[in-house]
Amino acid sequence: MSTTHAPVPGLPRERDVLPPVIGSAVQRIDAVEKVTGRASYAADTRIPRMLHAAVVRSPHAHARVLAVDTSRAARVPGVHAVITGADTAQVKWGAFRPDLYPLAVERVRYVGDEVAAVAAIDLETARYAAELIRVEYEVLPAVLDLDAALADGAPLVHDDAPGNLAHEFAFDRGGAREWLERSDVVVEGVWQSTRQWHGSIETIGCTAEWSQDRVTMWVNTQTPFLARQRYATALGLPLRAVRVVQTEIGGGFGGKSGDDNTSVICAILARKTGRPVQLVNTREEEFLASRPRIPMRYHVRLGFTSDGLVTAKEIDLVADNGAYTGKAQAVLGAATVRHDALFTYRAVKARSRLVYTNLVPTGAFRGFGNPSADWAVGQAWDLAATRLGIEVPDLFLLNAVESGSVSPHNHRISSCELKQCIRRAAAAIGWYDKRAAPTPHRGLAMGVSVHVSGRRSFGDYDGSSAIVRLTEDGRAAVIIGEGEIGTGARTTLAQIAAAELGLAVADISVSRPDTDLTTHALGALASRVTYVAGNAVKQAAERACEQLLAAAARQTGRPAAELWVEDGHVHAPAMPGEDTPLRQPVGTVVRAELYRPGGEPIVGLGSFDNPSEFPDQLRYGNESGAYNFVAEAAEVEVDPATGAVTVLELAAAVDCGTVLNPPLAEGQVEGAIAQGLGMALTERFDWDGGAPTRPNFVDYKMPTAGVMPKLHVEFADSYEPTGPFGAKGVGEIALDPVPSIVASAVADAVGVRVHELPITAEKIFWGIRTGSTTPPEQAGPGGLSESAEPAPPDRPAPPRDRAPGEER
Amino acid sequence: MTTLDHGPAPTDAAREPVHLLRAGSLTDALAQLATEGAVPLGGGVGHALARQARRPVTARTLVAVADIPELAGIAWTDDRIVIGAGVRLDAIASDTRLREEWPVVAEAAGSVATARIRRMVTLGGNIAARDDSHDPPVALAAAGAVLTVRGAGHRRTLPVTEVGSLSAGELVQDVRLPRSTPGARIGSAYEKFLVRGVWEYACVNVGAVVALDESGTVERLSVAVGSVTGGPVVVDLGALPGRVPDADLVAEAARLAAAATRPYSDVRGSAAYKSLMIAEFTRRAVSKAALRAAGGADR
Amino acid sequence: MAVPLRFRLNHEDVEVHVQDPASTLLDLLRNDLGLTGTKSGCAIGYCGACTVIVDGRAVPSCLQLVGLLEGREVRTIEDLSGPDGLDPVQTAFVTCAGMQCGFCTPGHVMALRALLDQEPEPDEERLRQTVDGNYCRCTGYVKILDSAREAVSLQKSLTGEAR
Ligand SMILES: Cc1cc2nc3c(=O)[nH]c(=O)nc-3n(C[C@H](O)[C@H](O)[C@H](O)COP(=O)(O)OP(=O)(O)OC[C@H]3O[C@@H](n4cnc5c(N)ncnc54)[C@H](O)[C@@H]3O)c2cc1C
Ligand code: FES
Ligand code: FES
Repeated sequence: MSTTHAPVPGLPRERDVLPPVIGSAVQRIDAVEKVTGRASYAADTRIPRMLHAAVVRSPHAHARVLAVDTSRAARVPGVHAVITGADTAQVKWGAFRPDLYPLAVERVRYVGDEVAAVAAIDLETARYAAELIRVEYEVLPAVLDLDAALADGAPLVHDDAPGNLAHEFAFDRGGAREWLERSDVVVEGVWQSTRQWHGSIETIGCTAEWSQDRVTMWVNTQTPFLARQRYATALGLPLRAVRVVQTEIGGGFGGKSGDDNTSVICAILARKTGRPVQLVNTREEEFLASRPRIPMRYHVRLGFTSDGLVTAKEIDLVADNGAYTGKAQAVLGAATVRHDALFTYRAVKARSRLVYTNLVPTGAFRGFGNPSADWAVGQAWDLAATRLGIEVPDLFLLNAVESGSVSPHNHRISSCELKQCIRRAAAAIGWYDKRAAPTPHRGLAMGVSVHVSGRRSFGDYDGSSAIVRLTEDGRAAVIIGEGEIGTGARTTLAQIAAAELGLAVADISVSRPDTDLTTHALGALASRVTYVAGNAVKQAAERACEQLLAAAARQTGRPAAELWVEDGHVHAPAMPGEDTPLRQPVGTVVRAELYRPGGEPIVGLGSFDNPSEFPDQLRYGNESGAYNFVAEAAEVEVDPATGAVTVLELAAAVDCGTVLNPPLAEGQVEGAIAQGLGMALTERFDWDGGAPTRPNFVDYKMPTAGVMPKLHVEFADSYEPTGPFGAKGVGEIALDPVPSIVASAVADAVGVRVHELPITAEKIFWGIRTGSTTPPEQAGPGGLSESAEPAPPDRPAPPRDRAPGEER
Repeated sequence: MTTLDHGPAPTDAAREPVHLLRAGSLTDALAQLATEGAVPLGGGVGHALARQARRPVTARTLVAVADIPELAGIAWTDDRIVIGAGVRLDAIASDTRLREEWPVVAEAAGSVATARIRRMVTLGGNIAARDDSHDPPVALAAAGAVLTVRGAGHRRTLPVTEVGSLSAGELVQDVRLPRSTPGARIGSAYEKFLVRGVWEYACVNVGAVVALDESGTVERLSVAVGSVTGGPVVVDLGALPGRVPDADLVAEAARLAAAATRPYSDVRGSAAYKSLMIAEFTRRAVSKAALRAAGGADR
Repeated sequence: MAVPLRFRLNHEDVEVHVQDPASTLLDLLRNDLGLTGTKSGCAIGYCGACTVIVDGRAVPSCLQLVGLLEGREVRTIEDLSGPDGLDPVQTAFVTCAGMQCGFCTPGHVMALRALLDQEPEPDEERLRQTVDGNYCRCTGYVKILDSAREAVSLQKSLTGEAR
C-alpha cells in the first residue's frame, strides 16, 4: 500500500505517513463469532413466547380482491392472529413515492403481493393456516413488460400514474444533438439489462415485540434509521413509537434496505397478538417479493471525432419499476448521470422514464443502476473502438477524466486514478500480448466505471456522527448507527479509531445500530460507510484523544503538547532531572478523570457531512464528495458448438483511495465480480404469467466456486484528500463493468453481440448460426416461456398450476 | 414455503402425522408397503423436496428401504451386474469396475449435483421419481438396464423407461445391467450439458453405447436422451448398425436423436435450441463411446 | 403422536420426541434444539448453508429426514470449537478473511471439516469440488479457497506436532 502522497493544494487534509494499522490486514472484529455460528442473524432471534408468521400472497399479476375468508385459518389450534388489509392503517408508504400498502387494499398488483398473514405457535402451524385462507379475486388485465406498460391505452397499475409513468425527467447539457451531428463517428444501439436478485444467502426477516405503545423490531436491515421512518409511516405510527435494532446481516447488497413489507407485517401481527412475532422470508418469497435489480433499456448514441475524442452522448432510458416504487426512482437518477463522470463528454442528453408494470417491484442493488448503465454505454464504447480502429484501453486513456475534472452534472472529481487503473488492468490481463497473438474463440475486453462514496439523496444530508468513549479499562467504544452488512465496516471503523487513539484494534468495540441508542445514520448504502462514517469516527476519536491528553496533562502536570498515545499508553519524554519517560496506561488516566470530585468521562463526538450537493430535479449537482474508479479486463472462451462461455481470467484495478484493510477491500472486489458474472451470464428465471415459474435456486443460478475465473485484483496508488486517511468507498464499483466486459469479450471471440442480459449460451449460439440472438421461430411475446411442461414431480415449484385467470 | 392461493383447500383434519417404518428385510418392506397409503423411502431427498414445496401429502406411511440387505450393494455375476436400488449414486460413480465396464452409468451417477447430494440419493429413488431430466435413468436406458420390481407376492421386470408403470405397493429392488463378454469391443459415454457452467439439472443429457465387431463395424448402437417430453427416450437408430463409426454415422445418429425427441422450453433453453443441443451432445457421446469401443481398454 | 428418536449429537446421546419423522434435521436443530449455528438459505439442498456432519460425511441438513437418523452420529458447528479454541478450519477462515457476512460460513466450515476428516491432504481439485457445494454470495470464493488451503496446512502442522 502507498504510504506517501503529494499534498493536493487547497484541499482540507493531507497525510504524509499513515499509521501502521491503516493498510494492514487486521483480522475482522466479528470473525470468531461468525466461524463459530454464534453470530445471531434475523432468524436466530429467540424471545420467550415468540410466535411465527406466514404470509398469503397474490397468485395473480393484477386482480381485484373481492373477499378474504380467514375463518378456517383462525380456527386452527395454535393460531393467534390472522390479518388482512383491513387490520392495517391502510396508509401507503415508500421511500420516494408512497404507493405500497402493508397488506393489499382492494387490489393486488404483482404475483407475490401480500394479502393476508397469520401468526401461530410454530411455523408449520402458521403455514398450514395460511393455506386455509381463501381469497376471491377478480382478475384484471396486467402489463407484463415495458412495451405493454407504455402502450396507448395500457391498463394502469396505479390509477394515479397515467401512462404507467412513476417518474421521468430529461435534460440536455451542452447541446448533444449538435455535437453528434458534427461528429465523425457515431455509434448507436439498444441494450437491455435484467432483473437480478440480491441472492443473499440469508433472506429478509424481522422479529417484533410491543411494549406499551412502542414496538421494537430486530431486523436484518442495512439502513435501520431510514427503514424506521418508513415503517412508522406504514404502521400509521409516530416515529417515536418505532425502534429498530439491527441483527447480524447475512448479505445485503441493497436488498435489505427496507422497501418491502416483511417487517411491517411482522410488527402488525405482534401488536395484534400481544406477543413477539418472527417473520422470515422463505427463499421463494425472497424471489417473488423482494426488490431486485431494475431492468433497464437504453438507447445509446455516442459520437467521436475521427481521432477518437468523445464528443457527446445521448440516451433514452426506460426502467421497469415493477408494481411499487421503493428506491427505483433514485436508482434511475444514478443510472442516468453517473457514468458521465468517466469521460470528458462535451455534451450529454438524456430522457429517463420509470415505468410501472405488474411485476415484482424493483429497487436498490449493488451498483445502483450503474451496472445497467455501464453495460449499455460500455457496449457503445466498445463498438466505437472497433469503428475507430483504436484499442479499447487506448480509447479510454484518450478520454478518461482526471483529478480536478468536473462532469456535465457538476460531479467534481477530487482524486482520480482512472488512467492508472486502465493501464494496470491492461497489464494484468496481458492485453497487448494477447492482442498480438489471438487464440481462436477467445476474446478480450475492457470496461471502466465510476462510483460514489456516499450519495446525497435522502434529503439534504449525507452525513454521519459517532461517539468514541474511552473506557476505564483502557479500551474504546465506538458508538455509531451505521452497522455491518458483511463488508467489514465495523472492522475498518475500529481501525480508524485505533489509529487515532493509539490503541490496538482488539481494544475497540463498535456498536450495532439501535435507533434508540446509537447515533443517527443513513446506513450501509451508496458505498458510503468507510468514507462518511470513517471521517466521523476519525473526528470523534481525535477529540477523545485530545480530552485524554488534556486529562493526562492535568494529572501529571505536563503540557499536553508533550504527550502522545501509543500502545494503549499515554507517553511523554522524561522530565528534566528524571530518567524515566512517562508511560501511563490509558485506562488509568480515564479512571482518574472519573474518580475525582466532579469527575468526567472521556467522550469524543465526531460528525461529518459529505461535501456534496443535493442534486436538483434534473439530477444536476455534485452528489458525492469522492468518486472511486475501476478498470476491468476479461478474457473469455466460447464453445462455438453450444455458445457456452467460459470466463478464463478477469483483472480489476480499483481506485478507492487508501486501502484501509487489503483483504477486506479485495473481498469487496472479488465478491462484486462474482455477482457481476451472475448478472452477465447465469442468473435468470423462466417466466410465466408475470412470475418466475420456479422461484428458487433450482432455476436461479448464481456463480459457484467451480465457475469462477482466475482473478487479478489490484489497487491504484491513490489518496483521497477528503477521505479518512485518504480512503474512498469500494463496496459496489467492481460489479459495474462486468456485464459489459463479458459481452464485449464474447463479441471479440465469436463476433456476436448480445443486446439483452443475461448473455446466455443460447443467444450466442443463435448469433453464430443465424446472426440474430433469438431462436429462429421465436414464440409469442413471452419469449422462451412457450409451452413449458409442468414441473417434473420431484422438484419444488410453487403450487400455481391453474390456468391464468381462472377463478374460485 | 410460499403460500400462493392453492386450489381446493385441504380439510382441517388433513394434518395427520406421517409414520416412518424401517424395514429390516425385503419381506418386511413388502408387507409394510401393502398397507393403504404406504410408499417407499430411499434417501429421502425427493421426499424432503416435495414437503418443502408443500405438495399435498398423500403418503401416510414411509417405508425406509434404502438399507435393507436385498437392496444393498453391487453384485457381479458372469452375465450381469445387479445394482441394489438402495445403493447411493456416489457409490455408483466411484465404483472402479463399473467405471470400466459401464462408464455411461458411472458418469451419469457422478454428474448428479454434488458429492454431498450423491451420497444421499439412492438409485431407486432417483429412478422412481420419474423425472425426465434425472441423469442415471438416461444412462441406464442407453445401456438397456432392466428393473427388478417386487410387490407383495410377485416379482416382475421392467425396462428402465417403463418405471411409470410401478403401482402402489411395489418397489424397485435392483437394476440389472448386461455384462459384455471378455475382450468385447464395447464403449459407452454420458454427456450432460450444463448450459450455465454451474452444477444443476441438465439442459440436455445423452447416454450412448457402441459395440464394434472384429472388423470395427458397429454391431450395436444405442442412444438415450433425457430432459425431453416422456424422457428418457431411447432413440431408434434404424439401420446405423452395420456401418463403420465414422463422422457420417455420428452425424446421422445425432440427427436421428434430435428428430426422435421433443424437448421443452425452460430456463435452460428454448425447445429449438435444445433440439440442436441434443444433436450436438449425441455427437459427443457417440464419438466418445466409439472411441472407447475401439480403444478396448479405455471404454 | 410424538415418536422417540435416539442419536448422537455433538458427542452426546440424545433422545428427542419428534411429532413428524418426515421433518428435517435442519428444523429439529434450529427450532427444537436451539442450535441456530446451522443456517437455512434455501431448504432444498442447493446453498449448503445448512451443512452438518452425519456419520463423518457432510450432509445438507435440510434434506435429512429426522426419521432416518436413528442411531446415527450428528455434528454441528456448535461442536467445533471449545474452551481450547477454534478448530483449524475455523482458524483458517479467521486468518484468511474467509467470510464477509458469515451466513454461509458454518456450512463451508462443516463441509471442509468433513473433507479433512476423510482426506487429510486433499488436492486443489478436491478443495474446489467441496467449496463448489456451498453458495457464497459475498466473497467470490477467492478467500474461501484460501481458507481451505490454509486449513489443510494448519491441520497438517497440528497433527505433525501431536505425533
Ligand atoms: C440440490 C439437488 C440437486 C439435484 N440434482 C440432480 C441432478 O443433477 N440429476 C439428477 O438426476 N437428480 C438430481 N437431484 C434429484 C435427486 O436425484 C432426486 O430427488 C432423487 O429422487 C432422490 O432420491 P432419494 O433416494 O433421496 O429420494 P426419495 O425421496 O427417498 O425417493 C424419491 C421417490 O422415489 C420413490 N422410491 C424411493 N426408493 C424406491 C424404491 N426402491 N422403489 C420404488 N420407489 C422408490 C419414493 O417413494 C419417492 O417417490 C437433485 C436433488 C437435489 C436436492
Ligand atoms: S438450506 Fe440446506 S442446502 Fe440450502
Ligand atoms: S460470506 Fe456472505 S454468503 Fe458467504
